[in-house]
Amino acid sequence: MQTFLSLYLYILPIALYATWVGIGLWEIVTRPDMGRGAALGWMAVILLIPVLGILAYYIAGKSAIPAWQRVTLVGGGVLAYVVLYAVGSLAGGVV
Amino acid sequence: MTIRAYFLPFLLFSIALFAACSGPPERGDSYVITMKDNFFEPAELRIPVGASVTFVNAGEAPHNAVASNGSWSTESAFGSLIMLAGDETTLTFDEPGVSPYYCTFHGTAQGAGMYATLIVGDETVVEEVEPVAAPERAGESVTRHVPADYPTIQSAVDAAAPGDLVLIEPGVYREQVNVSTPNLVIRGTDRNAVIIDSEFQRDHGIFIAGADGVAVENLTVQSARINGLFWTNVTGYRASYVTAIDASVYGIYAFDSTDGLFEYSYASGSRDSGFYIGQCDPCNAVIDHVISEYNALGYSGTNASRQIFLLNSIWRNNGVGIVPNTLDSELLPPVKEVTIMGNAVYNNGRMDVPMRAGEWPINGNGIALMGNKRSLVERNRITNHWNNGIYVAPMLDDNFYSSDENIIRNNVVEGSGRADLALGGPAGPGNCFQGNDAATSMPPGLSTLLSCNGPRLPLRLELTAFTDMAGRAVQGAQGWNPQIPIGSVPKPPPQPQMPGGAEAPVRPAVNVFADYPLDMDAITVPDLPDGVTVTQTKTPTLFGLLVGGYWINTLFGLYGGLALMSLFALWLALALWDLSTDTARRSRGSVLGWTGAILFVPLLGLIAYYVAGKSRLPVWARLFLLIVPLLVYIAVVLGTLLGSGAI
Repeated sequence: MQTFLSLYLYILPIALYATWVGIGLWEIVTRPDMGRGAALGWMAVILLIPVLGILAYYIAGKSAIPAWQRVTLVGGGVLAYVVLYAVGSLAGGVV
Repeated sequence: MTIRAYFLPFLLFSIALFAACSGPPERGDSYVITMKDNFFEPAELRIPVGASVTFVNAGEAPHNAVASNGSWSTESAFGSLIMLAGDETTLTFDEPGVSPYYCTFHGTAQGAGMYATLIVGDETVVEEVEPVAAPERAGESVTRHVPADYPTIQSAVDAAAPGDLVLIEPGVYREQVNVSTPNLVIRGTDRNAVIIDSEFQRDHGIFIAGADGVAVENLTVQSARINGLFWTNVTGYRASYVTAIDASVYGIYAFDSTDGLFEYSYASGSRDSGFYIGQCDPCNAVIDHVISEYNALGYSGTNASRQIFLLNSIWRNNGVGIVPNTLDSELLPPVKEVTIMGNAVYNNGRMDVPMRAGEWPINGNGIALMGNKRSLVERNRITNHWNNGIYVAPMLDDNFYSSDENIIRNNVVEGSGRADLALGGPAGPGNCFQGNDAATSMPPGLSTLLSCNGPRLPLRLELTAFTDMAGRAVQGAQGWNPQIPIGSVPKPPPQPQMPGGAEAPVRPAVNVFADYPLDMDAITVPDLPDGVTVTQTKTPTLFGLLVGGYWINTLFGLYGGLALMSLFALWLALALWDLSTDTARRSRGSVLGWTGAILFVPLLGLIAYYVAGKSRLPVWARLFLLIVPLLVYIAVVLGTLLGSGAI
């Protein structure tokens, strides 16, 4: 169980991050309201600045994804990580 | 832009990834032993338990293969002891063990002629070494007294004949001793009071070049401008009860030499390693009951392979404890089959010891196998390291060397900052972790998912350990690593004298390995000495990176590790989403075909889809997505490494 939890907590941030970027980029290249220049600019920001780039897009990129969904997408993952880490630590340490 | 132009980086990336996935055969692969006229090839083959071996007669003469103890024979499978040219037969081996075998027509069970060894499972093999004839000398061994008969050690050595004893009374000898006469024993009468002081002006304390069989006993060498004790290009060497302090490079060192022993010796303050055996295969060498502390590395063994045993020793307070490693700067890469057993490795990861820039990237590890093949780490105690306890890692020099098929078992590992057990990627196949008393690992689950007896999942691409080394290589190249002057570490207390002292038998270093009583079965995990407790606590990691690490290491971890991984996930997700929602345009065959190509052809399938799969993503987006991030990630890491002079 401990091994499983640790492995999950190791992989979760990597997978979540890839998911955030994937969803953000799909939106950028398919949304009709964004010109090619702006799209390229946001792609550059997202792909070239690890972690912070995609967060910047969700905050300031005028994404069509409703705000509550963006908060869930990012905050939910972070919350899950924190809670599971705390639970794991209480239950004998995350290995 | 042609397709070729933007294909190149992906091909490189793909090749790198495939290279990381290829390597020596694993469980389930088939093995072949070729019978030629008149020898077996390979002469030694290691296979997993339960594997099958096909014997092929590729010679002209008839051959067979029969175990020396009679336990198996090609006759049982082939139906005849006579296998003619082109014949082949397959045997399966379910019992672990070391199995010498021979051809009954062209060899003997005792090891003459056409004879070879098959190793089934993870057995440790100690090959017998053929003793050489005792050296001839005219008359008795002469004892040459220094300074009574000879004012300097050098004058006594120059006067000595092979087999003589150079016996040195207490004093500080400000000279470099060059030895070219074989089979001398150079002995101090008091280990702590017979001191060869190089005063940082002379290269070596004692320099033995090409003189076989020289033993050095019961004395101290200090403040060498290069090495304290240095053997090169010899057969037969031994250091017993020697103290080596503050060497500018290595304390006690044997290079390009075989048949040796370092025992009951002590090395501290070396700017490279305390003990070093380099460039030998097979080394036929033993390090037993030594203490190595306050060095950049406790032990370094560059390209020192096979029949090399580090046993029952203490490696503490160094930058790193034990580091068998592969480098292209010496011959015989990569390093293979090092045995590390019964050692106490604790409190390494010191930053207040002298070190060269090249040692900084692995600081903080207890035992680091760098580019090792088939090494064995067993029954050691490894305690208090801010980085990893046992770290199996690749080595990048002129060539890239992964670590493959190393066995880490039955160790006690405790108090590690990053992880007790760590496998750094790209790793080769076959590394395994079994029976260790260890709480943490990176990636997590190594003991479960990469066990020696159970399944071994391919957890080989944990890149952050590698990017961490790369980050610190940049620091070292910039001189940002700790700069500690030589001579500033604590001086050792008086060290134990050699039993028998001046009266001990005179034994030149002849047949050292053949005569050494190796008893590895008796070795147990050592206890921590009194006063040493587990003090290092686990440091949190995110994306595999130490939280609060150096900014440049974090940068490399993000660009060289995380970003590459997630870029791959991103390509995959976008392609599959595109395919699975494109029902209006695409036939089911097209969707299934491309999905299959993407999933079954690693990386290349994805690239082919983006190039030729009629994706709905606009061309400019595809081009940007495929090329720009990868180029930037590579540019950030490679550019920083090159620009800083780290590679």
